Amino acid sequence: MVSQAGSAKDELPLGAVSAAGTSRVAEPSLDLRALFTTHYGSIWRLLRRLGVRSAELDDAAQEVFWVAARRAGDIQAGSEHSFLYGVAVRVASQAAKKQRAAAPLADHEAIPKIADLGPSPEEQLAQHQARALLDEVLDALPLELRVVFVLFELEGLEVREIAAMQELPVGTASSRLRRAREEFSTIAKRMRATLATRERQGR
Amino acid sequence: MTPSEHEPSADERFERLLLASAESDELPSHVDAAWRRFDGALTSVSLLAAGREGALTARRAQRWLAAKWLLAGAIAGSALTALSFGVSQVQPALPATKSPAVSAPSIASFAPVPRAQVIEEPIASARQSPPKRAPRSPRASQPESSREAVSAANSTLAAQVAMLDAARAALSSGALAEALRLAERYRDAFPNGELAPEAELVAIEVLVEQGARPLAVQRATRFLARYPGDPHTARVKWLMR
Repeated sequence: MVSQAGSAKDELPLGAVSAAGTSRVAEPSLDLRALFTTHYGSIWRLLRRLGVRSAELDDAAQEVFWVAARRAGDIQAGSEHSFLYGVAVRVASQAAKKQRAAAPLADHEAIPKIADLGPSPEEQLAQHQARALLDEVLDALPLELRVVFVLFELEGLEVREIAAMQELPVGTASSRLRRAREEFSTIAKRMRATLATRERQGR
Repeated sequence: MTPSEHEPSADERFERLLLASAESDELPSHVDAAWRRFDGALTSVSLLAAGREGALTARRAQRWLAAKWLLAGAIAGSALTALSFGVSQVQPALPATKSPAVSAPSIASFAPVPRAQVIEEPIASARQSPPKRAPRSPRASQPESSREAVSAANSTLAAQVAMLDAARAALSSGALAEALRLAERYRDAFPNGELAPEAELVAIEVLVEQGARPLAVQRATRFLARYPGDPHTARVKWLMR
């Protein structure tokens, strides 16, 4: 079982390492460097998928490992990845709240303005354009749905793992995943329609 | 295509295309640089904490020194008083090997040593010494109540140091509840103690570590108001970031 990363301890501000925390940082049982170098990439990518902006990705990833350093004693052997994922979800959630407070979400109706897709959206989508569109769809999802969707569809976690990480009943996690998929399909369908309309108008 | 598979619609293909695009997500190539940044920050924090610890140790040492002088003074005073009563009569109460007046007490001796052993025993012995025929030194003319007050103050300081050390040791070992209990106990026992800021800092650090941020902020605010010039104010502010 994952040592839950969702406790109030995670509310600690970045860098608020007490003397006790510092001693935990130096906890000999945790090879912090190995933890960092092994998981930094996947955590960084997860944060990106969860909507943390590029300019804030490095800071957010660092924050995840700060939490891990502070709570080294809470990380059970073998559950490092799950622990970090749980922290990353929280960090991303906090970042998302700040982002949403700072600026409204991008309107996916405006996507064609940034994605000149050519004659056929499906055929002409370059990989990076598709990726940009995926971000737009994910951004349009409510955060709680985005989290389960990303963890399941993109990160390949099982529902029970997600439930444990999110401290949810498995049924609730399953329900969220179902809603997330429905929402994703709806948004994607609308996006495709918009792109197709733009394509026809452009011809 | 098997019969169970259906031809995906354009919308479904679009969805799959979107999802498949995530497979191209590249992992960052700057892991080493990120680690150096993290490690550097970690070192800074450790140094900062160590510096704070060092500062506290220095201050504690100063206070220990002050306590030592006070204790030594009190004991020496008692010893002088006793000596003035007659060495032969006092020596049993002041064994040479243990006499703090002769050999300064080690820091360890300020650990939770029973007050009676360290301080009051010589005084009590002195009291028991027959003063009748011995010339009284000027020191001996000091009112007994005054000497008792000095001794009490010194033992109080030693007790404060011991209690604070215990609280900090508990904090360092991660025994947060114990650290908080000791800090609270200090506050109750010595509401105006010389080490009250340190004890309060321990309590704040525990609360921060426990995630009880509202309480930590409340106490930090009180700390800053009560000890505006204390060297720990910077640390308290930093904890509240």
